[in-house]
Amino acid sequence: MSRMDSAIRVRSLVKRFEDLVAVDGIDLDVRVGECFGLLGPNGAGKTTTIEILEGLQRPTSGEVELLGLPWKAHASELRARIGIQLQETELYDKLSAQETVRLFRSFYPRRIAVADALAQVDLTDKKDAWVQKLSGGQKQRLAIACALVSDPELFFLDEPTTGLDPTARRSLWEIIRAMRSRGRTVVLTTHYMEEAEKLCDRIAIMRKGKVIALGTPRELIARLGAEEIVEVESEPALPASFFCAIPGMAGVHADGAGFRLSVREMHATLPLLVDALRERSARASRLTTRTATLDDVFVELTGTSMGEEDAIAEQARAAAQAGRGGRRRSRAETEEPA
Amino acid sequence: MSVADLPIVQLLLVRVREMWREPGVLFWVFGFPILLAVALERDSGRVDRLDASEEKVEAAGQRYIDFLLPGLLGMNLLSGGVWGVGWALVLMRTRKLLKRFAATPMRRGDLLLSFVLFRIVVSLIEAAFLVAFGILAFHLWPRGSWAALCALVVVSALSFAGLGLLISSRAQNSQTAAGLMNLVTLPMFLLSGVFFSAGNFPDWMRPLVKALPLTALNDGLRAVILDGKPLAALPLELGILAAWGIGSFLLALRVFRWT
Repeated sequence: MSRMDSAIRVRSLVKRFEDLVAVDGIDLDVRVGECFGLLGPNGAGKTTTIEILEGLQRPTSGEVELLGLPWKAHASELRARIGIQLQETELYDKLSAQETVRLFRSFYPRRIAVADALAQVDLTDKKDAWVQKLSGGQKQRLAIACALVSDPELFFLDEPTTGLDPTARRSLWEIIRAMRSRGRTVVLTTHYMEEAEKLCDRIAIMRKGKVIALGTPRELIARLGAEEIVEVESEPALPASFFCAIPGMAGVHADGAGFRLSVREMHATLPLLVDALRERSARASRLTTRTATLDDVFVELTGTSMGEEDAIAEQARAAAQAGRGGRRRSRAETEEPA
Repeated sequence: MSVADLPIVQLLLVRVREMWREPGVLFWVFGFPILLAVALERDSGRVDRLDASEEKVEAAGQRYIDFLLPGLLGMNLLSGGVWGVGWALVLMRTRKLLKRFAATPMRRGDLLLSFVLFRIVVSLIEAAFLVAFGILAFHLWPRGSWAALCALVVVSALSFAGLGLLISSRAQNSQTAAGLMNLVTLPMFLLSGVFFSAGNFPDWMRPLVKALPLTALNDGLRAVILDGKPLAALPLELGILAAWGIGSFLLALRVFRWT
């Protein structure tokens, strides 16, 4: 990839906080015009990574270049050329949507009309409504309008759909697709595998500060060696070895009370599974089939699902805070490394 | 590009809109000092009447209300500066708006400048309002020049905006910030001669009390309003206010957190 095509170039990026490594030596290349997803459970280092890319946190070590320019020497130029939506920004409650966009617009040398920015996020009807009157999805769209208004070449969206209802999520997906179709580069972090599959050209899966997989959604799923999944619970419960013995089985993972089976050819393996259960006089109390998703990739790579990792991260965080008597809570809130 | 789209103008508009659209703030800025003046004046009136022989005490310039009104103005300017600047900045930090601004090419000084300019304008309006109230309700005409009064108010606005900025420069949540602001303002309300003369404190305390910015402002306001002193007669008061202002700004700029 030549310099011209590179929107983001990261080499050996490390971010260390007092007692933990939030980003542990990652390399990333994002091409101009692609939608790139950073995925992973809570505490994987996504937000720290994206905030370093946005110039909001300084890396402990490593190189970061945006649009061919290193952050250090070109901070103000880069700030003018990127558009940002942060996790959890609350805009002024008592400003209207268009007043808010106009405020942000005033900071940038390059500008589009306020009305255009609002139209792109479908908020024209709400232009005079105060921020406090907007729904969660509308607020998030307004935050994106504030990023759009400088017509940036590169967008950073940090969990843009977290906490939104399905309709609001879908309308944000449309906005993100529209950015891409105008040739803009988009980097987004998300929690939702399904969202990344739908939106992203390429994905990096992060875990504990490292990139553990990188590729197109299709490549990552193909890496499973099996694109179909059977979820099964039996009565009486049978051991993993029983399922492993069935021909055509590519992977067996415990999943709640039952198992999640990766299967190469559903039509060949499913009858064998049913026969094997019958031979053991066992009954399938639950049996569903579906195609593999990125979540299955995550399970395959880590042995746990993202939801479970989140729960573990939450527990560790709660324990750490209790142990420290809340002393460092303020830092955890601002930088969210753990 | 129109003037209205300059960052500083847009940032000032935020300040104006936030205040104008929050009726509660308008009450605390304009209504509260007047209620306090009326309540305390009535109270002191009763005491005075016991002392019925002293008719002269009622002459303009020597009544309790004459002493009280400049003090209330000083108190209002202090709390307006500290809370108006500090509280707004802490909310912007906890709401991650400061961080969002830091990610734009906005010149960081523009944000601070918007707070300072806003406080200067609001302080002048607050002062005009209270002085007008004094004239209408108590025939208390300032004896000194309007220019001297305005200059004192502007210097105090800068000084107190600096204090607000310093107090809010690192606070990560609104409770901490509120505690700090009370810690700074409440002792001054008591010590700096708002309700009673600061001259009654023991000798060892007087230099400390004298060095407080609210004492300097109250002494200055009384000198101009009651004694008709010119600005040139108040180098100490202006110096103390300026020193607090400049000191807090310099320190705040070094320690201010955007995240």
